[in-house]
Amino acid sequence: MENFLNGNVNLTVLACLLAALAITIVLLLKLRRLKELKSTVAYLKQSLEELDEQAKLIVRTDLELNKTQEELDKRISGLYALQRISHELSKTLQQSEIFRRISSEDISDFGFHKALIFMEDKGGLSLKYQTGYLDGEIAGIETKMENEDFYGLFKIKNTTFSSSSVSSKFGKDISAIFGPNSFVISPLVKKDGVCGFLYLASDSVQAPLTAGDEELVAILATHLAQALDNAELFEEVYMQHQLLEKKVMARTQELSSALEQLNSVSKRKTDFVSAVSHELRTPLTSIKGYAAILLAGKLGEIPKEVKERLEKINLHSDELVHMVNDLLDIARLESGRIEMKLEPLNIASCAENILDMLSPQLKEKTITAKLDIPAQTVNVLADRTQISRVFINLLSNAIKFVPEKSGEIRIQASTIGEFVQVNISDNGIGMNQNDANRIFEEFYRVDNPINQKVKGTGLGLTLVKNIVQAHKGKIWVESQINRGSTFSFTLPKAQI
Amino acid sequence: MDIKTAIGTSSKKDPYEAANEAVASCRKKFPGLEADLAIVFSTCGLANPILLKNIQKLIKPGVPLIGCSAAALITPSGILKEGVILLLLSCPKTKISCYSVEGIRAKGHFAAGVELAGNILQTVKGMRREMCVVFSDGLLEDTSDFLKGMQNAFGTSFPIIGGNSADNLSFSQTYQFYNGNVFSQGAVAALFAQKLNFGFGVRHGWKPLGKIHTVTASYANIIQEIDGKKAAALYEDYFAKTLAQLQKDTLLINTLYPIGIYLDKENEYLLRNAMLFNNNGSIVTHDTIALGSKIRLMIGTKDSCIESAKQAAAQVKSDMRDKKIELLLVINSASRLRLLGRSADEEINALKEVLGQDIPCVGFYGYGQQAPLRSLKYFGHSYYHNQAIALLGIG
Repeated sequence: MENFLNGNVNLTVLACLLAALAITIVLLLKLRRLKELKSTVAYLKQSLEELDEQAKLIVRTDLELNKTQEELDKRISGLYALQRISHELSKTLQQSEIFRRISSEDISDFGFHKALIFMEDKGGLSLKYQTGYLDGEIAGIETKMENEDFYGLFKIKNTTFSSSSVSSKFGKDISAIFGPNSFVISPLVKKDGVCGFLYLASDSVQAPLTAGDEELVAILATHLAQALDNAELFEEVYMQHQLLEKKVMARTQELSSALEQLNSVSKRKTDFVSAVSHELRTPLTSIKGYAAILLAGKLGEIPKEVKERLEKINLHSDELVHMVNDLLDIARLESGRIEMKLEPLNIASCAENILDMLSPQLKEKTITAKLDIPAQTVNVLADRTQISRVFINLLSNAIKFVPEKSGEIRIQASTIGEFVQVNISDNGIGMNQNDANRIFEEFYRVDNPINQKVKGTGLGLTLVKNIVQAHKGKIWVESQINRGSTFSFTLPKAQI
Repeated sequence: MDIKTAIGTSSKKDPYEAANEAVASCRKKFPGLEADLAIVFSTCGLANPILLKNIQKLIKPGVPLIGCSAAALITPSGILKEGVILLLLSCPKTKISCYSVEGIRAKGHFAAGVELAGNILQTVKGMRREMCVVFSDGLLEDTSDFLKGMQNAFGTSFPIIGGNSADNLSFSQTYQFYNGNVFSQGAVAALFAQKLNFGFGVRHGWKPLGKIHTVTASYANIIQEIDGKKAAALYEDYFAKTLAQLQKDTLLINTLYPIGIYLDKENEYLLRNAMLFNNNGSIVTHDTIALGSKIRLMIGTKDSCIESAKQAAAQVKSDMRDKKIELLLVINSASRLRLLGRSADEEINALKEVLGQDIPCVGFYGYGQQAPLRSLKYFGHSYYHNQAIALLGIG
């Protein structure tokens, strides 16, 4: 029994020992697990701390990136606004218009909500532009500026500055005048010095201002000052132009009145010539009539010497009648008293008729006359009788000045625009440039051997010129000594 | 198709002329200018009774007008930095009830919400209520509380969609519009009753970054401590900046790195902007963050923003099923406009990619959005969001 009991005790002790051992093992395992878990927790804690540190790095980098991005965005918007304003400023040269071209959107794109431009004006400062302020606020600002002598101090500083680049005391003084805490002020410097200032500000107390803001505002102020300079320059040029225009107008008026006087004198001359010519023709007709009666012997036989004198009287009377008629025609043409019977006229046929009429003279001097007018040349609108006189005068002159036997005359015509140009060329003695310039003047005769032999009135070419001009045409001559002359005139085309 | 819309815009500086131009554009679509509701959004320069009164004078008499000031405007042809947008809405099968509340701070945010919702319900008693559009002051300290006040009257699951008015990021004063009146510290709302097909979507695209933190001391919209340390230490630590440097960069940090509040079962965190870093190290947020809230620092990118806009548009499309969307109201965040910068148009184009290029979309960039959460856990409760794009499609 004792043995049995002893055996049971031993078993119990053994079991207890085993249980204790098992518990110890479990505890040891648990402890080990706990240690592992603690280590994991510590590792996780460390990881979390590390992640948090990484998060801090991320957030710091992100803040810097965002700041840079904002600054960049602001700068781009500002540059766009600057480009827009510059473009607008370049489109005007009026000082008052310059300030109207700046919109509040442009100021907003610069990153500001308020703007003021003050300029020197008649010894004081005057507001030229404002946005973002109420009218009542402006009066207060003007008073404070005057009290604090702000502009005087600003002119001493004479540079662009912002709320972040000046001392906090000066910044506060400026804020006390204008309001906002964030601002940039830049002088407006024209070619003759500082003339005002540009103030840009933001109501947002925390809107960050950078050196970039100052640079951008300084550029805007420079553009504004340049635009103002340009406007002033333009104003000066414009005033000078106005003065010049006034002078030109005064001179034009003087010339007009002189021309009027000249026309009046010319008309009086024409009237005088016309009247005198009329008065001359009547006694001339009588002289010619009486000379003819005497020559015909109706009043008895006349001695040979008397007859010769009478024939000379008759001849000179004829020349005088011819001259008077020419003078009368010139006077009529100048005064517009000749009524032109305009009709479509074939210039070739007209020239041909005149050549026929002058054929005796051409044959007498053995002159070759060539009519070189193409069949398709259009008709001119002209008075047949008057144009015939033009051809007679010009061809007679050519016949007169070409050499005998080798003389050549050529008549050409061509269409140029709305006109037909007729050229009458000869291989005569020609004339120098001075004579060519004066050949159409009344009574002007070129001094050459032929003219010294053959008498003339000096009215033929004047008459020709007046006839051509009465047709709204032009006449001119090209000539060289001993190389002949070419008289050209134009006549308007007849409408088909 | 019962719903008709006409949209007019103007960027004229003079409020009277701007109203004339905007109304003239609407007249092309609605020759008689007959509408059931006029919605006006304008930038601060035009937030003027002259603008509203002239619009009211020109359109059909008695048409209710609601709206607010904005940092920028969304028009069918793009983003307008300065100007006004007028939307005339005609929905003959829908009864629209409008009301406004002023002096929210003095009345208390919750009480003001109750007052606005209570008054608006008066004219639609016994009618089936569909949805409420609300525009409130973007500088209120507790829009969530105001929203709770409205939910107290409407019921917690009633969909409230809207946005907070804004200025030009100066955070000085924003405006709300009701008929011919312009006021601040107020809200305006339009409740749509009887019958209306609508769909909504809200997303922001910001992702959590770093460890989870806990708000350990807070009061109203001021977080005093996070993880037992002064609240600003979170930002000081992450950005390696002193408090003074943070204060200098507040606008950028507030825009880009909001605080995210974890919402169970929701795909995205609820965001709150850090508006101000106080000298004592506390942070003023754009709305309350409850004590004990689990929060994360959030980070967003242009791509994630644009992608989230697509997701919000997809939610609207899904809600509307096969119904044609006649109007897309876009309530966007001024912070997103700042983040996207010159790419802001891409976000609007992303909406059109999903909903159709010719969709008439109007909206504004403001200081907060109100929209219901989507997951079942929240039973469609409307929440106040920051940094989000909230969309309302009506068809």
